[in-house]
Amino acid sequence: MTSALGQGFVLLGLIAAGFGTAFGYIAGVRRSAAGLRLTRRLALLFAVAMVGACAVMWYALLSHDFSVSYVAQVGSTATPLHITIFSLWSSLEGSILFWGLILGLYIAAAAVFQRRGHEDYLAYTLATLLGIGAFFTFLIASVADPFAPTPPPVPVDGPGPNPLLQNHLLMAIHPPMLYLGYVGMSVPFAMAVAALLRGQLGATWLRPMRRWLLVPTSFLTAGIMLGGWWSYEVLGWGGYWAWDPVENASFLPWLTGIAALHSGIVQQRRGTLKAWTVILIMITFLLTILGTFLTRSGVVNSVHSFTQSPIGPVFLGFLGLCAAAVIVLLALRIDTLVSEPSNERLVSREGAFLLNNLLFVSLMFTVLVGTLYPIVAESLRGVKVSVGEPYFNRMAVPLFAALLLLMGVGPALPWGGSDPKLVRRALVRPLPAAAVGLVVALLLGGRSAPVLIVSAFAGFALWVTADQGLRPVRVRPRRQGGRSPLAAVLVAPDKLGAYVVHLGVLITFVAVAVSSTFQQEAESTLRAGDTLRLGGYEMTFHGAERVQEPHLIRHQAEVEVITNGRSRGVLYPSLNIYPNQREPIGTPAVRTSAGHDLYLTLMNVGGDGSIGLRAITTPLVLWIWIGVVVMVLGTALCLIPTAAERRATTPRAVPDLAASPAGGGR
Amino acid sequence: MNRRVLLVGLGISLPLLAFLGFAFRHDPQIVESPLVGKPAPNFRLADLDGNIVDLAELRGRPVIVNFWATYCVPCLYEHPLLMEGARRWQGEIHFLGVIFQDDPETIAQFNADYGSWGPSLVDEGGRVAIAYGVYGPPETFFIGRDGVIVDKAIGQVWPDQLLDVANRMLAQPAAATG
Amino acid sequence: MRRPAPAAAVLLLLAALPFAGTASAQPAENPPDVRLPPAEGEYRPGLGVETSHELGDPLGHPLSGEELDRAVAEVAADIRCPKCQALSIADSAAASAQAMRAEARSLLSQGYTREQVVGYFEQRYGEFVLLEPRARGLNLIVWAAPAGIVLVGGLLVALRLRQRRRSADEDLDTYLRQVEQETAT
Repeated sequence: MTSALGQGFVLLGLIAAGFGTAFGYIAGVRRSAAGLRLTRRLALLFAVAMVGACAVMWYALLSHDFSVSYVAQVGSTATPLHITIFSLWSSLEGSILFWGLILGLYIAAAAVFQRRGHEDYLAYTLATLLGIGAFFTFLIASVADPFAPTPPPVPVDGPGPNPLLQNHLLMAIHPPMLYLGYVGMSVPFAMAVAALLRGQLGATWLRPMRRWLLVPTSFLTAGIMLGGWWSYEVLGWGGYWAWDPVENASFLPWLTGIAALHSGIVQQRRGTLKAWTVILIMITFLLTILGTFLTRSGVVNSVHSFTQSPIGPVFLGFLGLCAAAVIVLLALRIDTLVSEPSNERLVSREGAFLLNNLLFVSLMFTVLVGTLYPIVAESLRGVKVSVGEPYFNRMAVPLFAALLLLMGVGPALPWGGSDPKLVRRALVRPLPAAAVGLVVALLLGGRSAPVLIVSAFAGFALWVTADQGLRPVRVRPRRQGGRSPLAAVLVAPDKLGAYVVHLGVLITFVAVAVSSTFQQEAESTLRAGDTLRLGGYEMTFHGAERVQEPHLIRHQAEVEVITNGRSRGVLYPSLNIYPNQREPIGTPAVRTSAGHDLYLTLMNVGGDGSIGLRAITTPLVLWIWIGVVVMVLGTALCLIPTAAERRATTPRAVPDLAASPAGGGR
Repeated sequence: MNRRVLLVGLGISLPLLAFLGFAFRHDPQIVESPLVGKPAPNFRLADLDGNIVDLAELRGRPVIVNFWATYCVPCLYEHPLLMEGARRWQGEIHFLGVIFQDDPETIAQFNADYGSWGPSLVDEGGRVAIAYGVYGPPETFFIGRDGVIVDKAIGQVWPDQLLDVANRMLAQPAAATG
Repeated sequence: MRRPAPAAAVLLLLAALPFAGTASAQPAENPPDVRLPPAEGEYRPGLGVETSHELGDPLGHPLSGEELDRAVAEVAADIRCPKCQALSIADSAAASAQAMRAEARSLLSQGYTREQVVGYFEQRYGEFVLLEPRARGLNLIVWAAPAGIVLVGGLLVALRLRQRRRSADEDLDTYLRQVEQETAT
């Protein structure tokens, strides 16, 4: 019964998406307003179908209806309520259903919010989005059917979701964030397809596109950060980023998405780089599909991989299809996107943006090659090789350092850059800040060249970021006769937002550099009463106890933390043992402060009551997460409409007064 | 039609898709051992009762070395087969079990309950497992009369595989040792 | 082709099946007694595995104290933990990783060089355990690619800038010529 209902919703979604794709393209070609209206209705119907399907699955999960195969696979009556809710995306089939839900919501949002201001393109945009939706509903209806009835006998209980996913609440929000980022990239992609089909790129394309690109990029940023945080809080190895293939897969579209955001700025200002922006958006979308394929096909070894399933080949087919469509479309239509002529110099704002794109694309390419090389080596040499952390660090760190330098130099440079005196002044003024960065690093004990270089670059960039970000506040009041700072900011919130994002990047960047350079650790086997020393800390082990919980057994050690002879509290690192799992899963205990983290992991618990304890101190970890939060806040600022945009949309509120017929671009 | 875009696009995406397609033909869990065809690393280990087994002294007869543990389910599945094999080739092939990260007492209990097909050797510090490059139990090394590793099984050993490799090892000329 | 297992084996297998359940659940009953490798010199005399003839003679000098700790950390950071996914044996808490770290420590303290120790693990486990592929043969792709893309991309950017300059100059030239012509007449 439940199975049939769920499958019915999925089928409804498939039909809506299929017809919507066809009608949308026809409406696009004929520029038919009625066709567009129908397409928009089908888009909303698709969203309703996806919401319905997910609601049915949630109902099945919460009512422990084991006649639904997905519930039999991940459900368990012993699992706590909140974990049951999250188990919708804890395993392969459910995660694709959830993907469908997010896609449905994005499509509905595009259909509703882009009703105006994007009319020339909307039919093609929705048609493309529904085409992607048709693929996913097809997937859910065929090889990844979570609603398939369980073959009898129907079990009375299930195994519950993967223990690693039950371990921390972060697992509840990390995948949705990542999916919101991944799936959201479909919207700018669909807009890029629409632009190519229309053969034009005007303001009614660029502005909505940048917004729809900003949103998923921001979700991806948050998703990647939460993944790192989860890894840090749960996996117990003391780090947050292991250059694991699936981590890399989420990193790739993020890099090109950011490159596209920046090239879009040049397009807005100068009317150039149109074709390039479109190409970057298309690559970004293809990389999200590639990433999904890598995660779900089991072709790479990874912590995050779902198990091998028939979905892999189907996804590869979809990736091939998308790549073919993109290449053919680009080859046929790219010459219709003509950039406006403009003079460009290397040492100018435009030049900096070009270098920014060069660095982001190089970084993406490096990570891509490193991630896929094991597959290449195995195909050609028949030998398994690994490409891991040492390689990626060696390759990516110089590129990141160059990006940091550019983040300081770029925004300081004037557009056009034709006046050498102006250029020189712009570059000399922040130098004292670079010197301050250097001195601070020296005072804090930095001695190695990379640390000193990064500090100087960071000082430079920080000054430029603050200078540029506060410019509207400093300049406006004088010119326009004393506006309040808030009003000055609200004229163009995206300008301030962009530099707030840069500030967040700087915070995270410095925190990552410092935390990975100055990590210290100690490890020892302790008996009750023994003490482990690290840095200024003394950690006294008072004993371990075994705690029986409904769905796991926890061995937790009581470790008292002492600094300067005073007790700072007790930490309880633990090893959790889940039924049917051989390797125990450790949960570290972390004592966080603004300066540094003390991180304790239990390596083992001996039968005689001794423990293996590993202690790590890592400076500035907290600031990595704070930086990301700042980035997300900055993005939110960028989404506030500018004064010009608000003025442009006012006639919408009073349609009677709008004399001009609807449909015209500005 | 922009040829450059077409060529660059196809030039990047086609090989990429081809490699991703090839990847399905490989199991990401299985890593071929570089030790096959090389002399087996010598070891001297004590079994649960303290009897010493020295691999070098067994030369002249084929040896099957199985790394196993009681927590490993495929090890339990292959247990009957190894029992059968040890009975069948008694006096012809040595069967040695090396305990992989398991408690000797648990192993002794298991042997008492289900029988054993050879000595269960205690690998303190896991050094033998490292010398044999064991990723995880069960892994089985087939060592010829001359002390060279003929073949290696990753995961559960299957009957026809055991039969095939055993026959190959037994067919090797019983060359003088040394 | 896979033949069905002999009947006796099947029977025994069935007998073992109930055990399979209890065995896999067994760690849940006891503390996970994962044994730490014994410290140097604790091995029972005469027992163990011969590694010397595969490693050759130690090419470095025996390390100890902080120097040894640093060398172990360096080697461990480059070796992939066989049981884990992308983690090195330095970062992993798995028993295999602990055993391998202990082995690296033991070899380094005997005077084997870092390169010899890394080579030993590679010889045993295959190239897969190296987190950084060796720069030779096909692996050169992965080493040359980043520099290659930066160079090619840089070249494209340079070409674009030159082209733009030239076309902008041409625009200016034609404009100037027009102005000249118009002022001449």
